Amino acid sequence: MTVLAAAGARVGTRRRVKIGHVLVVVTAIVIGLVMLAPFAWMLSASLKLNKDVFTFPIQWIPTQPRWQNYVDIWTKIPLALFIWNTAKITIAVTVLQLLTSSLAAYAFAKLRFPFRDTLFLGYIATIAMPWQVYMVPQFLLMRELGLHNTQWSLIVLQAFTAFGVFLMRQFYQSIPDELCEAARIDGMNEYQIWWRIMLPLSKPALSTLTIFTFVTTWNDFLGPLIYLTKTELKTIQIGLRMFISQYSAEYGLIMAASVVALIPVLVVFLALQRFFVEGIASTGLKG
Amino acid sequence: MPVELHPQSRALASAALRALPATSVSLRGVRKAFGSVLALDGIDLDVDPGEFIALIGPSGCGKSSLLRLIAGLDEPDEGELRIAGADVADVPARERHLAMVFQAYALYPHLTVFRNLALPLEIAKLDRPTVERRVERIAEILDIVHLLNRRPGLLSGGQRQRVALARALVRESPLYLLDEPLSHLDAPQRRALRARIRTLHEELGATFIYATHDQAEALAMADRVVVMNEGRIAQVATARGLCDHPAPGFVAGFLAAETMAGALDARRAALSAEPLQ
Repeated sequence: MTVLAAAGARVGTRRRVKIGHVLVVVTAIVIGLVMLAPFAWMLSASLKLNKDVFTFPIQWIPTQPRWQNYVDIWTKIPLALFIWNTAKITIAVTVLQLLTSSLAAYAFAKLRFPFRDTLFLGYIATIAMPWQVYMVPQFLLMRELGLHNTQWSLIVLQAFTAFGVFLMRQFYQSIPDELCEAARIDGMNEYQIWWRIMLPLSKPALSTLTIFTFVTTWNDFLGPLIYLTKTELKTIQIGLRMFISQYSAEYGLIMAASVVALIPVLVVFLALQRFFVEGIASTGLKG
Repeated sequence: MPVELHPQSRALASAALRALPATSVSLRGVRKAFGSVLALDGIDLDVDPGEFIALIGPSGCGKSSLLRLIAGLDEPDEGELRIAGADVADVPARERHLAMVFQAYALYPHLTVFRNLALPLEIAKLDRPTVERRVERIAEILDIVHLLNRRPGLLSGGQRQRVALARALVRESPLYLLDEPLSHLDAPQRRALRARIRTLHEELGATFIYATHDQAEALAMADRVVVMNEGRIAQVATARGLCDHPAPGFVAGFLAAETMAGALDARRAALSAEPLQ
């Protein structure tokens, strides 16, 4: 009797769980499709003639895919140059951010100096300040320094990041202090400890920061828009606007160039995603 | 705040520490508080060059705090610390040229055991053959040759502890600080390693300061035993002296009579051990 009741209860639970499970999966699929729709539309539009882009109902798979779009984008605007410019700025900014963030985070997490935590809080508080608030005075400052209309302006401005320091410091705090102490006794100076102990241990945090920084800088629109007005300095995101003339926009070409611009971001994400997931899965470093 | 030493005298102190085979350590009125907890309450101690000193006492008595202070990981609030006669208040840990075994191992998790042992030697800019020779030798003495290519994460507690011990002993340092270096080993291993550490001590001729909560271990190995309680030194004596004349009160209570008998046997065994090849 009790066995039967228990079995019945189990079946009941299983059925309820199953229905709940189905609902969750269906909802997830629907949300996923909604999120992916713009990408699908972009891919589809990149293979269409400008006049067909906005036809309704949407023709998801063009009957006559226009691969010519992917040839034209390189000649109608200096796209290769734009990609080169974007890559230069993005790589420089990413490398500098990894360097400055991990060094500053090491000091905030593992060294003792007066007002350390106050300084850190003050620095972190700047995350709350939107860039739009101070971008104009900042631009005036950079112009005084003669850096406007140079790629240096964007690199220098983005070389330091409070968010990166915060992220790295959180990770460093999970590394036992005794490792640094053992290293000091082994005769290492603080830079050697940072380079030989902390950096190798913080691969998950470094790859997280790399993904964030790379994606943000690569996709940045407002920064290059403000600082770069010469065509030969432009990045992809503002370069794409050259497909928009006074009276018309080449949507097919814009979408094709956008697809090309997306590739590096995807590559970086897929390459580092392993460490990213690993970092979340294995935070315990005791040993 | 400690008085700023002239940079040149600091460099001289550091150079002197490196050159000596063994150093003396001398503490005068050393106090250290962590927040409201007084960890060390007026420590006076003189350790002779080449001496093997054991620190014993109940947990929380200040053994670890004392070692960290000597190592330069913490600064005393008050009092004077001299190593090889030089005031080291202004000499950072990495310039004190001492070796230390941490109770929690503190092995570098991303490096193999071999690289863990080699790193301090590489930092000291020893050439590759010397590094390999010394790592292999110490690995043999501590039975960790078969672990050299593994990472610390894959080792048991006892294995990690032997690696931690090896990382300190692989260096040629005038002063070794050992914080409970055998606490996670089983009894036979512990007995074997006691003898080997003692033999290494004779061979290196360096000063050893060895913290342990195991009275038998302290009495078996040390030239002199320092009994600590609540941040103070309760008694300093040879193993014999401690057994024959324990200070009344805390020390006498702390040292049970039966422990001593066993300890003296263990001492004879440790001192008569075969020399290392």
